[in-house]
Amino acid sequence: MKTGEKGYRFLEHTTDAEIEAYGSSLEEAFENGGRALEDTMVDLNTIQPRIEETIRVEGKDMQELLYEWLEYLIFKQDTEQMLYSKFKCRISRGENTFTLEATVSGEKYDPSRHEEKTAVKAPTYHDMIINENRSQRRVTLRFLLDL
Amino acid sequence: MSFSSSKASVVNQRYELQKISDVEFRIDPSARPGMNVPVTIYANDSLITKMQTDRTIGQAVNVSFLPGVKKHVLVLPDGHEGYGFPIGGVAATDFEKGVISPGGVGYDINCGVRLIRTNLMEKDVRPRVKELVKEMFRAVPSGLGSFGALNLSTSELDRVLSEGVKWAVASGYGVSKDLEFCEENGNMKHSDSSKVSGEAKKRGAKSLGTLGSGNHFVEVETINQILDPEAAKAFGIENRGQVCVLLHTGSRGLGHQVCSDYLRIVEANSGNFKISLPDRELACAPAGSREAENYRLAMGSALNYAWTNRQVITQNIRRAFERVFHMSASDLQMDLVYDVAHNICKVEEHEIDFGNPKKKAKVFVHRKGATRAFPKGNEAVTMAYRNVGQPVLIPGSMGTASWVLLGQAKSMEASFGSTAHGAGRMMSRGAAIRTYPYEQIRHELESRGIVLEAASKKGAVEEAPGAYKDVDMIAEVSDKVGIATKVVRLTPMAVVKG
Repeated sequence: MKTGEKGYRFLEHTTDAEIEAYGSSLEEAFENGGRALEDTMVDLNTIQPRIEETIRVEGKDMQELLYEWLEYLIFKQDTEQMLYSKFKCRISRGENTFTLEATVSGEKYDPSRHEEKTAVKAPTYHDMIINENRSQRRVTLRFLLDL
Repeated sequence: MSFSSSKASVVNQRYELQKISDVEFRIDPSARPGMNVPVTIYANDSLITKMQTDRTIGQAVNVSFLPGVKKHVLVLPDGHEGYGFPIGGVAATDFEKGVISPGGVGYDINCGVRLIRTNLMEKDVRPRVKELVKEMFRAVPSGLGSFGALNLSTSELDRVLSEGVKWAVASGYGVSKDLEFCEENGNMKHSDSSKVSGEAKKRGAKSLGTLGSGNHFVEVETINQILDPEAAKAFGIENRGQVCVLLHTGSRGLGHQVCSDYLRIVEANSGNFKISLPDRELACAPAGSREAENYRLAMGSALNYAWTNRQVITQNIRRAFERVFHMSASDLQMDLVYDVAHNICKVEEHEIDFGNPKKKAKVFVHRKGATRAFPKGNEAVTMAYRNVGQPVLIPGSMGTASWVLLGQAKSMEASFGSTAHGAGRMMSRGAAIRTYPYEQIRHELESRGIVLEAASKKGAVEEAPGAYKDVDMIAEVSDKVGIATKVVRLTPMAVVKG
């Protein structure tokens, strides 16, 4: 798999942030999607993994699971000023639900250490794509964040 | 509800445009099977060419699929691509047989603008503008640090959600006269805070009185041109060089969460609605359904939150002026000119047939990136302006001009009483970053006498004036169509950005 070092890239979009994230598995792609979101808000490299937390979100399909995952990370920034740089995801498929359990590490936003980029209002379903190529062990996510 | 594959909506299909006049284009419902009404676009050749480079027009065509949509779907001169609905669009749906779409309001419910006048002149402010902008930057938390300006208890937050600006005035954030100059008097009665989720409330508890980031700002403006002296006088603007403050922000995380929560609820119940739509972001609930009603009540609460947010910020700006000029806000005559929403859904009565002004019906008007532009005589216009018409506030991008327009009778016939809401982006954030280094922007603004204070350098670069369409052209098209006409042009002296 050649996905580049970061595992995600920012695409050109007139108004908002459109992101493509990759991985050799869904889990890895979701982890890189989380990193891309944090990197939209501040320089990802400046976030120290000081506090470890666990997160659990559910979705009725994979797109909803991605939406819920991104929204939860935005919610944590908005309500507790938490930023994360380390992600470990596990995704399980039930009959009618998909569940993501993640261990995330990060710290509270500190303007003296974190160079601010922009706040994110919400994830969207706009042009959301989840492409699983099992034979090549490559998963690509594409999503748009409302800024 | 069912959705066609996302690939289909990715295609930037070209539709045949009929040119009706120099500032009006139309797409007939025959252009694509499933369209219920035509799409009307108010734009000149330059603006329409830009709209054709992305999916602005295709998204408006998608909106025309909504059940019960009336007369036509509108794209205003500042229209650009959004998600689901285009930004700079209006759609009205039947009060009984139509639908309500959270995406037709957007994530930033009641994102809006307010204008505060002063009796100061440019020459009074210019020598102290750097001190003033620093004082305002401290007084109004912005960017990712928009946190904990006020720490509201649960019961106080519930009052904000139901009373809006009335709560702010009763709590010392403003004077009772401020109420008169807000759309809906800053209080949407049709609201219910129990329909707002715990998550949304948690996001709202610590964000009241904060600016946020993106294109939100506070600007100190001077009056640069007066084109309609009579209307300007009614709005308390009498002289070129008079200083005003323009504020642009919305309902913060609370509103974003309300939108997101109800998109989820509407989608989860979509099986019952049997509505087929070309885009997941258009998800909607039939008028009168429990989901639609609950969304309206929660949206009403978010509207109240946003008006209160702008009110609290206004009061903190007044305090900043008082500290710098050593005069009271009342001596500085820092009165509210107007506060108007540009992401909103409201029940209004409108003409629903072309060329038949007598036939009116109750509709849900979705304004997504559009400003109400009611004419004189309309009883929704505050008493003080009823003989003149409603002020329409059109902010430009950071560091460029802004406009006050006047709502005209033509808007009731041509645009469900609406006009544009801003300049509209034309360059991607990435392209702006590659084109404009931060120091260059700062110097360029300073050479034009504009002081910038920004929470985020990257954010400021993304909002570079060159990344937006020409706001003068937007005002010009609105004026030419006759839906809202030019009153005053403002130019900035100082910008506080998130």
